[in-house]
Amino acid sequence: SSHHAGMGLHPSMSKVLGRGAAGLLLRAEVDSVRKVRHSCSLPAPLNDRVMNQLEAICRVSTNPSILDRHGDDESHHPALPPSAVAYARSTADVQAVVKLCSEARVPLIPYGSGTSLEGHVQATRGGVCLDMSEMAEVLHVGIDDMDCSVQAGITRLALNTHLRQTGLRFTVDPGADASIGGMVATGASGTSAVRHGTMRENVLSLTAVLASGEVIRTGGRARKSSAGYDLTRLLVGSEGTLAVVKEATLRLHAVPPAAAAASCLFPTLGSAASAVTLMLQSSIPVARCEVLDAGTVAAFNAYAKEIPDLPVGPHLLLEFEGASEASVAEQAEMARACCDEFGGAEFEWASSEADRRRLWQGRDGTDYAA
Amino acid sequence: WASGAFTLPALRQALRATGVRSAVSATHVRHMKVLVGVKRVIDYAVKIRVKPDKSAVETANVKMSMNPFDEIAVEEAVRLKEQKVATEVVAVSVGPTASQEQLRTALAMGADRAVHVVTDEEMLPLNVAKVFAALVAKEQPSLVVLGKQAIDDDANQTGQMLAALLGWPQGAFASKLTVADGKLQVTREVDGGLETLGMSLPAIVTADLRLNEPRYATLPNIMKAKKKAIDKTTPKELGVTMKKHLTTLKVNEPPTRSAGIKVESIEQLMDKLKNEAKVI
Repeated sequence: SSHHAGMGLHPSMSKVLGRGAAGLLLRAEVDSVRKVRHSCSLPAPLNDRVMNQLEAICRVSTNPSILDRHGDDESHHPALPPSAVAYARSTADVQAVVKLCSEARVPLIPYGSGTSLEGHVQATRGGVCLDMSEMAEVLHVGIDDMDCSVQAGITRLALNTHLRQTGLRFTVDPGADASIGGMVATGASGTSAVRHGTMRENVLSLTAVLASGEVIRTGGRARKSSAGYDLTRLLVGSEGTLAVVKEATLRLHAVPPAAAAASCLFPTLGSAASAVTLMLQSSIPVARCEVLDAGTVAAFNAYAKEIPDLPVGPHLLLEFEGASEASVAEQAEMARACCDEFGGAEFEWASSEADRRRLWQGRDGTDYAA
Repeated sequence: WASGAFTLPALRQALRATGVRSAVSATHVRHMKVLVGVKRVIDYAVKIRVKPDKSAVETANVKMSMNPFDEIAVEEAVRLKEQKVATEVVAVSVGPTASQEQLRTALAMGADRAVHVVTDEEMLPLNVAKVFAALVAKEQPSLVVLGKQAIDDDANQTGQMLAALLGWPQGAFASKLTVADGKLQVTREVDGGLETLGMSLPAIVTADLRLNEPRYATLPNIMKAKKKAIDKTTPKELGVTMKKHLTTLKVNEPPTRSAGIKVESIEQLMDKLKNEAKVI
């Protein structure tokens, strides 16, 4: 992104920074520029013919506040509103809007929840923002197959709420309550990547609309299918440049019968990283992992009021899962030994669901806290 | 019970005859049974639609779940058992055949067994309260925990009516619950803040949002729940007539929100707030 280039960071670093602690560290250090909100001069409106055809397909808005909101995400980039926002309600709507924009050579930006961090929805050349949030159904849940099919507009928390009584959950957890379509498009990750992987490992198949309006289905429900081009993985992370994702089949994991969360203070970030490396090398199946630097811990303490303050300094947040309380306690103790190796102190751990949830919710809010 | 009409005076007399209240107070320490009510309702995340004939809300092909306040009630009961305060948790549902799903969920959360009072009649609070009163006479629990209200009718009546039918103390809108020495301390969320009441057992408690955060079900517990017992009965077998004393005349969707507008100046804003919205 141009901002980071201006600050002397290689463009590829922007992708890596994301929402994790390392990103916060670097962003906190270099990003002293406050987000500038231009009093936006709106982009050129769509010509009448295109506008009329668009309104015939689905609900459209040109309300300036709505345009502004749809041209803005959670990054420092200023808002760049589109010329119109179209709300898709069905596959037919998506196909028709895509075809219309293709023929009229109008830029098209699919929009999920607007929580991206790299200016993903900013309409640099105006055009149509295709809001997918009304296509948010859970289409199918396979308990024994441990998968589910959803429309792209559903958010990850809404999906897990739907699944709450099934014993299954969707593990990819970027800090924000992002839409599944957005998470597919950006190849989202989260604290559980260490054990359950990122979107790349958890998307089984996709249904997407190409620029021609053609609907394609990539992959399937099977864990292993035939050889051939992995189109699913091509679309994951493609950031809306190849197709509009409208449905995804996702891999689910079991809600573990036992879990514990731990936090540990370290003298340096490097020693925290070494401790985690040792844990993984020792075959401790760390379920979730996050690192916070001293500045982030201070922000975390100030923001997350309902959790007792963490002592200020580089911190490791960990979670362990297992089939039994004994198994989890064993993992926690072995992790404590790894932390001790590298000067870890104040190793605290909690196993009640409420305490664990609060700790991780605090971490999710760290972006806002910082 | 098998013979007569169910009337309030008859119930009170029957309970006094069995000495339920004193018996329970004496034995609560050793054997505390908790009864929890669960209701099958439309899932809270579903967008509600009204049927075209405006007679009711659309429920066909709509996701149904346990009432969220009942989830909290079940969680509290299970926690009492984990703290070794309660010895048995019995989940109860009054409703159609499909309510069985909600009882299985309660069992997966940790209830020991369940009772399903099967009925297709409308779930009017007074009738449900009468059914629960009859079950209380049978099961003799020390504590009955219900959700404060169901999210379909928002009645917030069953718990209170049950307490009145039984002549038991009640702690409604509980945000904290402690049991010690056969006494119950309930912190209630009221308009002015928090009110803490002390009461003896047996008692009725209705659960409010901040009482606890219900646990997620795990697959092993869901499997175990399939083996737990669900006893079936009907209101008639319990001596209760589900009398229809209320008729729904019409159901309407709320009026659609009109679009917001942007104003150019403070003066214009004040003018609109005063003369159009009439809020100042």
